[in-house]
Amino acid sequence: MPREIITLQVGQCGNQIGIEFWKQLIKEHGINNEGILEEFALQGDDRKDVFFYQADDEHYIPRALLIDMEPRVINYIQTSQFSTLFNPENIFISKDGGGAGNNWACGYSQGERYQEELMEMIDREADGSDSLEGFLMLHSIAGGTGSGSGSYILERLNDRFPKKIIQTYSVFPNQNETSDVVVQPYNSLLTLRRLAQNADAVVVLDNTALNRIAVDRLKIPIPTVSQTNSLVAMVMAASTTTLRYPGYMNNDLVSILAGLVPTPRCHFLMTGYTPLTIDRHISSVRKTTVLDVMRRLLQTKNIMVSTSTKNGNYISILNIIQGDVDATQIHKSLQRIRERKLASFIEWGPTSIQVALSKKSPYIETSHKVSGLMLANHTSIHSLFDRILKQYHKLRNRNAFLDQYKKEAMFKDSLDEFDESRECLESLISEYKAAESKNYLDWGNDDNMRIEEQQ
Amino acid sequence: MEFNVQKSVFELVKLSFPQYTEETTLINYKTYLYRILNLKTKYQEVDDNIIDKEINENDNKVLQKRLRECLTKVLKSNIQKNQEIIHFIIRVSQLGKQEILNNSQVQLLFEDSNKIKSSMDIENQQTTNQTITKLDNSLIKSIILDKQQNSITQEVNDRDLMKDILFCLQGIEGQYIKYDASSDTFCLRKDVNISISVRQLVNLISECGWLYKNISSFCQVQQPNLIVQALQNAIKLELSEYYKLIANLEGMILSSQLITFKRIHFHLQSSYDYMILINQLLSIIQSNTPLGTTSCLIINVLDQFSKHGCSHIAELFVRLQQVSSQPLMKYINEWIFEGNLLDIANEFFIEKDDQKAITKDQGELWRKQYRINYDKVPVVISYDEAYKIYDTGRTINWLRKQCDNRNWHLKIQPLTINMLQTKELSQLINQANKNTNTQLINLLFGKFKLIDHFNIIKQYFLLGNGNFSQLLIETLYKELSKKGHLVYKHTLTGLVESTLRMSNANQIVLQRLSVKLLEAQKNDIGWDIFCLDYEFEEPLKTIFNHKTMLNYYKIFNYLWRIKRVEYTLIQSWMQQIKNKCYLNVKSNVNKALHLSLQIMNSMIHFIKSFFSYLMLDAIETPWKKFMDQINQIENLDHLIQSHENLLDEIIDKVFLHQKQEQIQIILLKLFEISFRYKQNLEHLFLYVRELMAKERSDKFEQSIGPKVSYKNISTDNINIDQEFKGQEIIKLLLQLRQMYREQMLELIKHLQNEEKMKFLLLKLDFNEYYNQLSQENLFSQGFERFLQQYIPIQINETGSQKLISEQPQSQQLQPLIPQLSQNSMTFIQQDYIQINEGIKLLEEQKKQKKLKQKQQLQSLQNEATSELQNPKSKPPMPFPQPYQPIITMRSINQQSLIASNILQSQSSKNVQQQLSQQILQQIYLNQTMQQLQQQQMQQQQQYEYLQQQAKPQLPQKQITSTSQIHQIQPSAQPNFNNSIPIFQNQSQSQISVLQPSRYDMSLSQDENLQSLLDKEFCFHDDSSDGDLI
Repeated sequence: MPREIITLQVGQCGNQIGIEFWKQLIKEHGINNEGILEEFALQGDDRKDVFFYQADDEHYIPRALLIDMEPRVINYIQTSQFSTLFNPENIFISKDGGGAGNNWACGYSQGERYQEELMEMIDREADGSDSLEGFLMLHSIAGGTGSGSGSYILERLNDRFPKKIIQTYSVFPNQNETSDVVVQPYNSLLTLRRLAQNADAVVVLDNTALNRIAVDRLKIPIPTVSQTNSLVAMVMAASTTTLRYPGYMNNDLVSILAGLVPTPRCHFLMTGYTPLTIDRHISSVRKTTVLDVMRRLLQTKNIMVSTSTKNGNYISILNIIQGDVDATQIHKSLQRIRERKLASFIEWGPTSIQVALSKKSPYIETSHKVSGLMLANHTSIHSLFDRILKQYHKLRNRNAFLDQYKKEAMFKDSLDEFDESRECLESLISEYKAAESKNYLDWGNDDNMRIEEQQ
Repeated sequence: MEFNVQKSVFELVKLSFPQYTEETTLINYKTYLYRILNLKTKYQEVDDNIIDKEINENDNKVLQKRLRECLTKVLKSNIQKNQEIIHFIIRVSQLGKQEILNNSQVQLLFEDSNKIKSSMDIENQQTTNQTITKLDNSLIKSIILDKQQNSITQEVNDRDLMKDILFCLQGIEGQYIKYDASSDTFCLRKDVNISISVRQLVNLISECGWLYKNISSFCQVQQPNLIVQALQNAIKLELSEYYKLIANLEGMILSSQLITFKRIHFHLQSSYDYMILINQLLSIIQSNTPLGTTSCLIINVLDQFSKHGCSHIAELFVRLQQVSSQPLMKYINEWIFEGNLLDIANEFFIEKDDQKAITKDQGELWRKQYRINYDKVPVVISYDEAYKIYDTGRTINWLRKQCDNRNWHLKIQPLTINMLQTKELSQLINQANKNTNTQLINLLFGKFKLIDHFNIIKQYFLLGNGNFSQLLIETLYKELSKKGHLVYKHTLTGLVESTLRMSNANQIVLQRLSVKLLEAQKNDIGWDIFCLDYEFEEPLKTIFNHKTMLNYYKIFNYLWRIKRVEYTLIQSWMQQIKNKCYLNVKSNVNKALHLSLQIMNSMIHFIKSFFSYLMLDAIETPWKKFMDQINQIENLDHLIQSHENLLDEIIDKVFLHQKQEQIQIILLKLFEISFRYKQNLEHLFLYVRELMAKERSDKFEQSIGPKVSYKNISTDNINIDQEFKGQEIIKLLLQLRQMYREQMLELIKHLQNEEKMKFLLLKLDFNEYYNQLSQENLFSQGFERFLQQYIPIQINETGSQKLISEQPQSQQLQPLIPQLSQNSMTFIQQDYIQINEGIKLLEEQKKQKKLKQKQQLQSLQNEATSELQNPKSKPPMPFPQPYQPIITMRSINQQSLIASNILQSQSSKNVQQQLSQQILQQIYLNQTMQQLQQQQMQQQQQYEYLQQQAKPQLPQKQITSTSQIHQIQPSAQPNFNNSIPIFQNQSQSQISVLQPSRYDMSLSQDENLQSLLDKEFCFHDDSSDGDLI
């Protein structure tokens, strides 16, 4: 009875990183492209059934739902070498195939339109698992389908499965380059509201930072989408190693998140990974001791979110260290980090760098002895939201590009949804800001309590 | 007459015994002889036995011997008459006599005997007198004759004497050479007239005979010990030389060759030397017989003798040693190669313990069935070798019997005697030992899959398999929450099995893993007694013996409880995270939720850090070390030892060791608080849901219209009720937080004292949150410490009085503090001393207050919305003036607590009761206040005036929960002594709307809660006070 996790890949971006993720997973579990276990992997003690189930013919099939409103990416997957990996029943392409046109409202209403089919797929998949742990949603927040339909699905999931964990891997748009999607800020804002309200944890994957990492760290002058996506896949795979290679702790999503998310709304997580490798691009890191890995994970330049962790505080950190490591090394590293104050922490509660040791996949050769993933809850993530809000204001003040939205039922009568989402985001930002102060826990309470805490 | 007899006997004795005999000894002889005579002449009835006994008691051995001889002779001789007695005495006296009595002496004796005779034969002196004389005469004659004859036969033929010597050499008495039992020697008869030099020579030669006699008698004794038998044989073999020599001598004597005593002596010389040493050997051996270590001793002594400087003697003993070591080597070989003990006479240094007490499952078979007795290890084998021999045989035996591995044989050459004390022997033993142990270890690791079992133990007992433990805890959660006696093994076994099947457990685990329930004690629930069990068979049972398994049970049960805490907290997290929609809905709900989140976060942080410490540092690290050791393990003992060390280390590190009881208790408290938190959380969400439901229905009603106006009152009541419920939950959470923090700080304090716990400390307090907290705590406890530490005890009443009168408007907090520190300290100190006396008074007052409040409550419940209430009774005490600012503050806190206590729910009772122990010191403060109040009645007027002022400012209606508490404080303060003023305003009456029955609880918790809430509320005192003034 594993704690199964169903992956929902929504939209173009969601499916692109999804396929990279599955590529990584089957490699790690020794499953070939058709879903058949390689001979060398027969004796593995890994838990494949968290992310896969076995079909009648012994094929391992990912517990994945591929959802898109346009057929391009999914068609590509279906014609690729992984064509037989996925269950064809789990693939949803909207019938008109028109896509969401980068319009959140369109995506949302399409989600609503196809809700029966979508929910039926999700239900079927959920029924197929003994003890469903939760859902992972992969999507971007800027486009149309991933953000719009994704938002809709999130809302429905929360209603339908009120006791299951919903975690998303949300790709935030690159803010350094001008996007072809001008309404990005609108879409992001509207999606963020759902992420704040309907998701239990959001792993923020900031394209800005991913690009920067590819350029600076891996020395790829112009990183391609698939290169950044494979970075994402690496992070995703690493963040699920403790689920797939069970150790003594953090064997399910809940226990990972319980240590990371102290208050329900502060659930936007940053990631960092070291040492990075994509194909032949190996980062210059040569020496990988635990201390090195843990120290590097705390450096802003390795964090896959474009905010500076020098400002603000860490609310919580979970380092998943893979490789042959013993406890004393970890102790030394932790001590060093504390002595040198490499990370500043919140003052309103006890927190620390949690370290989860995880096995490495025996089937993948790596040049590094130790590698590490950091999942962190850091207050500075609000600056990312700040930027989105600023961009939103720019557009909204001019009432630009609203026509497309007004076409959909949701915005026909009023644009209240924008305002509500803005409020929600503002409150989220102020909550994160409040979390930097010592009195955070009384944030949102009346004044008395706050004074009391000071006392 | 008596005297004469005695004297004569004494003389007789004196004459009869050698001159050098001491006086006392003579007296002893005399008394004995006298008594013997008495006995025999029937003068006095003396029992033979008594004399016998007395003789035995005599510690002089020679004397003893002589007397015994006397006695036996007397007994044999059956003497009836005096003459005979005298004769006997003379005879007896000759035993130890060197020179022959001369006539005069005999005459003297005779005279003496006459005297004796006269004294003795009183009754029949007439009749027998003549015969006696006759007899006496003949006796004397015969004696003299005898003497003469002796001197006649002195001319002994040398040859005859030589023949006699031949006998003597074979240990047989001859004609002239007699065995003298008294001196235990062979010697030439004294009456043989021979030159002194020859006599001496003959006596010297005859010593050989004595030696031979001794040795051959040793050889003839049947011995069960094989080594002794071997020695006997060896000696017999050596004696054949001696026989040959005797035969030669005989031949020479008989063939009338020219032979002299000197020659005989010369021939015998070497045999004599040998025999002396052998005899020495035997006497050493015989003197040690009772120790049971004869066999070992033989070899030891032989070894010692074989190093004799004389090469001939050394050779002799080497020969003896080799022969007598044969059985030892046989034992060793049989033991090393077959694991059998041949030793029937208990002479081998390895012993079998056949006691039935060795129970198999204790793992003692290996340890105790055979043991090595180091007393029996001969010097030729070093202790190290002996141990290795022991270990080898034991291992072989173990292999044959327990591991069912009969076909394996050591492939080394058998040990031989020649190897003794050579390097070769120890090399061979080492090799044998190494080979067998390797075989055993290989067998354990191969056939018995030791590593697999260790892994299973780690996976299941030490929760190394997080997957399984997670599943198991989910499956068993409900079942284990039952009372201990309601938990059944078969139910749990079924559940565990199904869990095993669901997780990817292999067949071995499925077969062997089962459930064990520890003995349930009162109040135990399933969690306390649940344990996994794992079945082992020999030989693995020896490693996983009863003792080690007990430790595993202990560790498992402990980890399992922690796992339960973790699981419970994670469930709480789920509940919170999935109910995030409730956040920021209503302010007091929000407060409660935030508080609960805060508590939960610190708990989760603690349990996660602690659990990761347990798994990583306390278990994984020693385990890894152990696994490394296992790869180099050489023998079973070593394995068992490292395994035990592993368990000891784990137990020490997880705080299960006895010396860590304190930490253990703190941990258990922390766990308990976590469970309580979960309960509170349930209440909280129940409450939140109720609130939400009500809000929805309110909205619904509003939409319907104001038709149902009668409902308003009831909804108001509900409002109030829920308002209080929210308050109550917040209180409970605050309590929990305080308790939790206290325990955490306590734990951290303990950990700080231990160097090796540094890393746990690092994990628990990584961002130094608790460190800061503890500093803050110190600050908030300031008052008591301040008083205790800085104020000298000085009783100065006038000063204090003056102080009181000087203080205006004492409600002002801030300005007063410096005053207090300067002027009123001595006064406070004095009050402090008086505190104890006030305890009883205070408690009585509290009871009164409680009663009155109960009454008030009931009346108020009916008129909850009414205006100000008039007190129903006058306070028993006048209003005191709270001149003391800090105390005032405290009392106000307490008052607010009284109000809040009313809100305590049933569920909180337990919590409160548990807390009550911690609060005793708080009583002090209350009493301080009490005293102060009594002494300052004159300021009462002032206070009342203030109160008048305060009243109008108090809000009349609905007040939010938090402000409610603080605003009532000024008026509530006097209520500490009397319950009435609490009801003076509207807000008070609202608070008191609650079931009076619950109020019983509040008293005992007053102080307690005060302590909890000091920090929470004290700030508001001055703010509200400021408002009032």
